[in-house]
Amino acid sequence: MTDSTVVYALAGIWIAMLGLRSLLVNRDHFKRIVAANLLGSGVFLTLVALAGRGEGAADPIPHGMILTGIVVAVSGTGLFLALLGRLRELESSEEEET
Amino acid sequence: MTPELLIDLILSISLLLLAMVTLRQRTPGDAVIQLMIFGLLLALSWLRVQAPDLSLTEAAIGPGVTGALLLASLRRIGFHRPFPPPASLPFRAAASLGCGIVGVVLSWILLQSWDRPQGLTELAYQHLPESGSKNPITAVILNYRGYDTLLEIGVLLVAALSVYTLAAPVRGKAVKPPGAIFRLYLRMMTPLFLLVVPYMVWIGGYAPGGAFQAGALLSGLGVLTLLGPRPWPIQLRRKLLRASLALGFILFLVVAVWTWRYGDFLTYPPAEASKWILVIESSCALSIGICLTVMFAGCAGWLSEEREGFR
Repeated sequence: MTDSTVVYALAGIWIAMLGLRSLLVNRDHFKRIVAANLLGSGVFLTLVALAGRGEGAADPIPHGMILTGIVVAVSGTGLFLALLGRLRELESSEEEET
Repeated sequence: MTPELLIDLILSISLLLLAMVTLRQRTPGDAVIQLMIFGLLLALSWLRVQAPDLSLTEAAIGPGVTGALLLASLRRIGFHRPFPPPASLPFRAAASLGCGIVGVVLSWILLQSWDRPQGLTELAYQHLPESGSKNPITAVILNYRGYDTLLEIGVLLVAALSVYTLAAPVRGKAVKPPGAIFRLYLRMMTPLFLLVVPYMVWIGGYAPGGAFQAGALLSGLGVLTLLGPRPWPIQLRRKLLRASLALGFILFLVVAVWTWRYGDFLTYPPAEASKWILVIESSCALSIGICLTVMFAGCAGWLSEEREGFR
């Protein structure tokens, strides 16, 4: 195996696993959002490395999928953050009332 | 050991270490900064695996937009508030073991299947002349798999609208007016952005670039403008703002239905393909940029109706 892109694919798998573990063990929502981003990045890295392996041009189909995935991931992050911000506000206004 | 392998090893090990460091930070602010550095390095590593299109997008969205969204929402969540302690030790050990086993199995599968022949590369390049784009990735996302991209723009629109409806002002936190250096920077960068964004859309038909890269860059300009003295993107007339949010999705849908008469949903005739792709790409770039800017404003608490012209 002379192809050195394999190291990125392996790194991607382990970054995804680190993100997954953190997603499971942490209770803080903000940290979970960060972990989910890392999980996604790891998956993307593995897919890009798989598309770019071997000689010749890279496979454009996984590239298209990842391009879509990056934008969907950032939409999800934005939505989670807005929900989390709203949650924190409701919590703090409840504290004020009691 | 060749120099290429050395670079690849250093980059991938740094990525792994940065991911670990990110997850070990004790406060949200530090974790976001580490995540942004990770994103930059990730973009760099994608250049090494023949993915310049993705590298451009990741550089703009990973450390750029995602970082901005996370930092903006820290205004409401608290920059230095430490994370609560994680789950109990047995649960952590079980989670580590589980993820370790999955990781080993996945790595084994990867190494076993590494030398298998590629998927659809040949087919994608074979039909490139009829796709209306000389850039295979643009051909994939707007012609071969246009349906995916249509739905994706829909997802982005729904997410932006949800952020819009959730928007509430952040109480008791005034924003400091921008300093002279930032104002100068904004004045210098705005024309540059306005030049590069249309160029990105246009070049997407030939070389790395396209609607996503252009949209991400546009949202960079949007975020900078929101931080500046005149945050016009959210001072736009509400109807105009909502219309530009939805423009990409609506035009994409109209093109999809319009091209139905040639046979199938989203199948362009080869002679007209490049025209339709350019129409979709320019409107989607605008909508992606505005959607991401609105998300940033929403996360920072600057979107609510009562704080129109928030400063």
